[in-house]
Amino acid sequence: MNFKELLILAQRGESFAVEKIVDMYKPLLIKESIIDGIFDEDLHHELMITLMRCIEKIKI
Amino acid sequence: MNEYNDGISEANILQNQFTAYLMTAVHRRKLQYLQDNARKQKYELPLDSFQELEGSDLNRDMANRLPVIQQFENVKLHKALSGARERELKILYMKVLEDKSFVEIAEEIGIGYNAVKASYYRLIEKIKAQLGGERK
Repeated sequence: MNFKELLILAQRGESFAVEKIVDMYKPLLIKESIIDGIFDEDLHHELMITLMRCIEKIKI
Repeated sequence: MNEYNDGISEANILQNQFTAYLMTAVHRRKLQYLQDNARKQKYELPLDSFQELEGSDLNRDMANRLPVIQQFENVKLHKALSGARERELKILYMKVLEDKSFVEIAEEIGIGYNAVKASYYRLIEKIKAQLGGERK
C-alpha cells in the first residue's frame, strides 16, 4: 500500500492507517520534542495532536 | 522499515508534501508551546527553590517583584494596600520585609528622612483603618 492510499484511508478514519502514519512520523515527533536535551512529554503530546490535525486537513 | 522515497512517483511526491506540511505545523506548534511556557514561567515561582530561599533572601525576593500586592491572601489587607501609592508601598516593603531603618530608606529613594517617616506611618494608619484597628 502506498502513502497516498494510506492517507486516504486515514482521512476516512481507518485506525490502522492512522496508526501506520503515526508510526512513520514518530521518530520525527520525538526528535522535535527534545528541548535542551530533555524529552518534553507535554510537547510530544501536542505534536501528536498536530500530526492528527495534519492528516485530517491535508488535501489530496 | 520504510521504502526509500525517490520523490518521483505520485505517492512519494504526496508523502514529501505531507512531510513538509507537517514540519511547518510542528514548528509552529513548538514555537507556540515554548512561548506559552516562557510566559507562564514569568508569573510562576518555582516551589522548590522558593522553599530553599526561606529567610531573608525570600523577603528580598518578594520585595523585588512589585506585584507583591497580589501575593497577599488577606482580602482587606489587599484592599488597603492597593489604595496606596507605589512609593509608599516601596517604603513599607523596605521597612517591614527588609528591616531597613528610615535613614537607609531615605538615602535609597532619595527623599528626606521625615518624608519617609511620615509616608510610612500614614500608610500604617490607612491599613489600620481598613483592617478595623484590630491589629497594630
